[in-house]
Order: sequence, then C-alpha cells, then structure tokens
Amino acid sequence: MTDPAVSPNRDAEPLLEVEGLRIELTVRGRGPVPITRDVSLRVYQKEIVGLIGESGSGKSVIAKSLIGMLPRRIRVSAGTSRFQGRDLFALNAHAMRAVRGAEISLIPQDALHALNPVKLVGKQVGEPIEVHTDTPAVEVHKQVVQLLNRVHISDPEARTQDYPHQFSGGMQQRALTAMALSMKPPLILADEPTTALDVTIQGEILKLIRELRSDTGASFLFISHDLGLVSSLCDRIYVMYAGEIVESGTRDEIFSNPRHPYTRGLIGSVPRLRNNAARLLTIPGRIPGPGDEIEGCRFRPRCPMAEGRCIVSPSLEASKGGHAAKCWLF
Amino acid sequence: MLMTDFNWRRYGLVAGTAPVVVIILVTAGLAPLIVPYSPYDLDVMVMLQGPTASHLMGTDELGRDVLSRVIHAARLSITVGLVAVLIGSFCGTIVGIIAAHFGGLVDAILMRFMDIVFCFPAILLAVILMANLGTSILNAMLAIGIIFIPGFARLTRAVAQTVQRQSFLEAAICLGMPGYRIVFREILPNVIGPVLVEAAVAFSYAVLLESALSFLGLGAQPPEPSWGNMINTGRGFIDQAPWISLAPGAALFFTVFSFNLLGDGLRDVLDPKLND
Amino acid sequence: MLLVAKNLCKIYRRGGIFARRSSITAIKDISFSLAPGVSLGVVGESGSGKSTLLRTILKLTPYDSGSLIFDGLEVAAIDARAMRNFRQRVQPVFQDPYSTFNPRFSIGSSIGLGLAGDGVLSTHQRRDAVARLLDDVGLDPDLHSALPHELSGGQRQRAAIARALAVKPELLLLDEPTSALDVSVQSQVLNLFKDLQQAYGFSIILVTHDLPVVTFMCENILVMKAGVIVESGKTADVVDRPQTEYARLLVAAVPEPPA
Repeated sequence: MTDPAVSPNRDAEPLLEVEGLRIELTVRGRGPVPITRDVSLRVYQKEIVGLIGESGSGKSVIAKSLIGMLPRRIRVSAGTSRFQGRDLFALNAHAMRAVRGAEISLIPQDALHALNPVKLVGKQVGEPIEVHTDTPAVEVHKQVVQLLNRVHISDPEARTQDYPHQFSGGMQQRALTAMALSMKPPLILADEPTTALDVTIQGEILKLIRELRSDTGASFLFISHDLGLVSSLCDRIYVMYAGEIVESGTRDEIFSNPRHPYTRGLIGSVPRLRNNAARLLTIPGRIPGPGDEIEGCRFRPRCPMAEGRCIVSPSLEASKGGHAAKCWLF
Repeated sequence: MLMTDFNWRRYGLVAGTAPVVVIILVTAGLAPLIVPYSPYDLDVMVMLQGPTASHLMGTDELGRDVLSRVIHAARLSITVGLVAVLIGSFCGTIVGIIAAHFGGLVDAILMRFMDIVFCFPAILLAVILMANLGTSILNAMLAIGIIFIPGFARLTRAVAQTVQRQSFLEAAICLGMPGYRIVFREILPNVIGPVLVEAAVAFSYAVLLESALSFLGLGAQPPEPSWGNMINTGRGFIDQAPWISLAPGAALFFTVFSFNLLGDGLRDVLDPKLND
Repeated sequence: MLLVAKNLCKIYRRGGIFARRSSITAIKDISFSLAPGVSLGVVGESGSGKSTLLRTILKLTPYDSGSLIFDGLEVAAIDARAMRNFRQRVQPVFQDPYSTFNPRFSIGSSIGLGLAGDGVLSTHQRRDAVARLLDDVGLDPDLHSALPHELSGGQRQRAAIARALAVKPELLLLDEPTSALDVSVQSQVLNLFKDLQQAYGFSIILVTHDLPVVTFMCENILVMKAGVIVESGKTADVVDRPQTEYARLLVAAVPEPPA
C-alpha cells in the first residue's frame, strides 16, 4: 500500500519513501509476530515529519529498521525503503555502514546511555567525520567546535574536553544532535529525543530542531508518543496504531479535523493547559499486542463508531489533498 | 512436540544436572545399604589389587574395597558440605539483611567484619579454626560454614538493598506494615533465589574444602574414609596402585562439577531475561 | 485544614564516616495548607524537591525543621503506637507501575496487605473487600489471583490505587502516577482519580512535571524550583496570570496541539 501523502512542493521527489514495511519479531515456539504491518510513509526535503504512536504501535522499530540496526530477533520481512535512489533494505552491511551517520543519522532516545562515558565529548561528536572521511584530526576538531556552537552549547572549545557526565541532560541531547549533524545528512531520525528531559529543556531542543531545519535544509523524522510535542514541531504527521498507519496529514488537518476514531480519541484524552472538560475522553479497552490477530480493522474492538463493514480492513485512502484515514467512515 | 516447546535456554541446564545431582545424593544417602563391602573390612590377601570383577575400583594397601570406601566417603563429604552451606547461608543471610535494613554505622561495622573474614584464604582460615576448635568432623563443618558467611552476607545485602529501592517496599511501609513482616514478606522471598544459586556453588566448594582439610590430616580421621584422606594415603602408592588416589579424585571432581553446573542452571532459571 | 505545612525544611547530608560531609538542601521553607476533599498540584522540574516533599509527608524521610501538622498532629511527633494509624490515613501511589508490586505475590494479596494483621477482618471478609476495591478501580475481580507481571502498566496502577484505598485514607499522595503510562491509558486513570475522589472524599496532593495534568485535576497549585516554592495559588490564576518568571517559563514551555 502506498502512502497517499502529498508533498508540500507537489512535484518534488520524496527524500525517503517507505512502502509496505512489515517488521517481524521471531518468538520461540510461535513463529514470526508482526510488529508493523504494511507501513508506508514519505519524507520530503526540508520538512519535519512526525510519527505518533503509543506502545505497541510499532513506531519504535521503524527508525532502527531504516539504518539496519534492528535487534537480533527482529527483522524486516517485507517492504522497501527508497532513499536517494536506493532501497535501504537491500543494502549489504558495508553499504549500510556508509549510509549510517553520513546520509541518515539518528538522535537516540536516552542521551546519557547513548554517549560513551569514558570518551571525551569532543572525540565522540567528531566520530562520524573521522569514520566517513579522511579529514585530519585538527580539522575535525575545528568542525566539532563549530557544531557544538551550532547547537548552542556555550564555550564549545572547553566543552570538547569534557566527559559526558559533566554535561547536563539537555547538553547531552544537544551533543548527540551535533553528532547527528556532523556529516550534514539530508535525513535525521529523532527517536523520542526529549523523553528524559525537563519541560523547559524540551522546549529548547524543539526550537533547535526547527532552526536546524531552516538553516541546514535537513529533513527530520520525529518519532514520539507526545502529541503536544509533535503538534508543535511537525509539518506532517503519521498516526500509528497497533502496527499500522491509521491516519496521515498535515499538522492542521490532523489536529483541527482528526478523522480516524483513534486519532480523535487520542487527541481528546490528553489534558490541556486550559479549558479542560470535567472528564477526559477515553478509549475503552486495551491496545492489542503485536501478535493479536484481529479480523478487519484493528481498532474495531475499541471503536465507538464500529459498524458491520469494519469486519473488512479498510485501506488508507486520501479523500482530498493528502489527509488520509484508514477508516470506512471517510 | 514436548521437546520443542520446552524452554531449553531457561531450564535446560537444570534439567540436565538435576538428575545427576539426585543420583549422587541418593547414592551417598543410601551408602550403607549399597556398598558391596564394609569400608573397614581388611583383607590382606587382596591388598593393592587393581580393578577386578569383585573389586570394581581395586583395593587399597589394607585390602579394603576402594569403591565401598569412595561411596562411604561421599556420604561424609556431602553431609559436611550441606551442613556447612546451611550454616553459612543462614548466618550470612541474617547478617546481610540486618546490614541492609539498618544501614549506616551498623552496616559499616558488620561489613567491615565480613571483609576481614573474607580476606583470609579459605584453607588457611579453616586450618586456623580447626587448630583452635579441634579436628573432628563437626568442627570441619563449623569451620567451613564460617568461611562462607561473608559471601552470603554480601550477596543478601546487595539483593536486600535492591529490593529496598523498589516502590513495593515503600508501599508496604506506608501501609503500616511492621518491620518483621516487611522482612519476611517483601525482602526474604526475593533474596531466596540468588541465595539458592550461591548455595549450590558454595556446596561444591565446601566438598572441596573438606577434602583438602582431610588431606591435611584435619577432619575425618582414619579409618573413617574421606575423599581427602584417601587421596592423601594414595599418594604413597601412586606408582603401584594409582587407583587408590584416582578413584576418590574422580568422584570428587564429578561431584563438584555437577553441583557447580546445577548452580549455573539455577541462575538461568532465575534469570528474568531468559523468558519465552 | 487537613494538612498544614509551615517552613518545612529537609537537608540531605552526603558522606558517611569516612567521606567528607557535604549537604544538599532538598526543600526549604515550604508552607501550604490543604483542606479535606481538595486537590493540590505540585509542579516542578528535576531537582525541584517535589518528590522529597512527598516523601516527607509520607514520613518516609524525616524533616529537619519547620512543622507539618496532619489533622492536628505534628507528624514528627507521632509515636510508634500511633504510627500505623497515621500511615493508613495517608497513602501513596507511585510512579513506576513495574516495581509497585512484589512480584512474588498475587495482586489480591498485595491489595489486601493493609487489611491484614490486625485481626479485625476475617480472610473471607478481606477477600470480599479486595473484590469490591478491584471493581471500584475498574478491574475484573477475577484478577485478584493474578501476578503483577500478568497485568499491563495501566492495570497495575489501578491495582496500586485499590491498595491505597483499601485502608480508607483521607489523603492520597500521587507521585507522577501516570507518567509511565500510555496516553490513552493516562486519561482512564486520571478520570478514575476524579471519580474516586468524588465518591470517597479524600484530598489529593499530585506531584508532577506535567502542567496540564494539574490543570485537569487540581484546584490549587504549588510551583517549586530548587527546593523552594516560587509561586502558589489557584491553578487557573497561576496558569493564566503567572506572577513569577519561572512560572511564566513553565506555562510557555507546555507544547500544545492547535485548537
């Protein structure tokens, strides 16, 4: 199934085009269990695309699958991911290593554990440059200082001689961002990059990402469970549920006019800063596990608007423009 | 069908070693009933004979059946091992839980004391203890038990401290649970697992220690057979009748190895990461 | 007033016998009051001291100076005999659903923990009480025999609420009770808190970093930073017209979906 999303610049080729992605987990004694089912999405140049989902949605494996870093028992069993003319899933280990960090980089979730505690920050931030190019050490150092400056770490020259534990949580995340930028990749994957951070620091990281998008022209795929974050940062959004994309559209389309009942339920269940109702909207029931086989629409057992035809799985169709929902009602 | 459904990674080792361990324990327990000869019967007509049909492991310098003595010695070694581990684990657990529960000065004093005992090489400590207590088998059990206390104390202290950081412990305190109930319901059940694993390995070390002690002439005294003193006596006859040392040596190796593997197996059973 | 704090202070001293002493002031000069049936939100970032405040009220750590009066009793002065009674009137719900239950016992057993041991209820009565509590928190009463790992995070938090309610507390202390849960589960649990408060009439102190949760649940708010209260008042007032720079910062930092 292809992604019906429409590019902000209608004629442009997408930077990343994922189609029919199916990722499976091998469970002993049970055979392969699908974590994502037939996921298609696109990222165009210079845009920030958000991927929202709760646990069990499958969003957390997507970033890793694109750069060939899935853990041992999880693998891509179907689908393509076209990036700059090549299928990422078809690359061998050698070719993938050339892509990783240079053309697609990842800002991981847990900053503290993503940094090597016994290596200087300066050395780590410059590692992608050292690995992918022949740049001499002196020049690498210069670039590292520039990068730290770019991510607004004050006194960058001195900071290169620090160890990760000497950085605050926010600074660690900025350092990781600098590392992700170091080879000027056209696509940056951000996997819940602000989860462990305080709200005020979170805001600063978001501002940084917006800035980087306009300055460097890089595109971001921002993966998160936090609706507020995604809504304030992302141009286009994909909503995932139980391994599938259930809705996609621009930020305004999704939040002002959500179509899929799950998206509506999700948006309604988040408390607002002002004007909350006496009770929050809830979605009854529980999120299905990856192995749960549900006949037809995977949201049907919990959907307040389920009908007879929902026994057949709807497809993700765009009605007009690019706003698509995987639901018979639209 | 049953075989492939079985979680071999988790239970494989235990499944393999448990039967062996059971056999060893049963053999040792039933020793007087199954030995072909009495371990004390002399028969100078057949001394220093190699393995034959009537003496499967040969005879020693006094014509006694080596097999019977090896089996009888098993009983001794295993009893010493069990009692020593019981003493060590019981006292060690109490010390560890008290240290974790009270913390501060109490913890510091107790653990420094444990460290001092821990510093001594086991054999040396055992020899010193037995020199003071006397050379009986009972004292061997006590000495070896004392040697194990610091190891168990450290382990249970660490586990208890981990448990203390869990929310359920604070929830229990907030419900007004008295201290002793918290120890018995919240801490002990979570401590037992690691202690069991350590006990299996400690047991094999205890058996080894007992053999070393009786090799040195402490512990079981002749004519009482012990693997240690059999190996020791056998040294003098190593050229003419190597089986006198080899048989108990092999039995010792086999027992220690099996219990060690059992300990590894128990660790796998408890490992939360080996889930299906 | 159910709870009155005046100039509460707690200092953590680092170092033992052999290490150098250094002190961190965890909370300083904390004063507030809480009426029965009312909810108070405590908002702050890491290092604000909000968790320390909670633990002090729960009497999990003692306070060093100031006074904390619960229903007329000075908390520091409660003796061993009155302790159990006090403890049962003030109950926590913690953040992490995965360590909130002893993994070796069924949740029914853990929920009934507060009811056991004083000989007042028979086993049968206790079982009935647990079943009723499970029902109150929206769980199937058959789950009383389930082990913690058999339940989802949301179910475990509900069970934790049941455990707290079993002893009929007058004050519930919530430490980021929904932060570890999925968004759609959070709303279920937050609604549950509101419903239960209506039904049972207890007061709530809700500690969180998530300002919108406080707006939803609490009439009053304390904003904490570096161990002190920087602003306090009615939640609506503080959010709409923050008086201090920090409060303004916190409000501005909340990312909001449009419309």
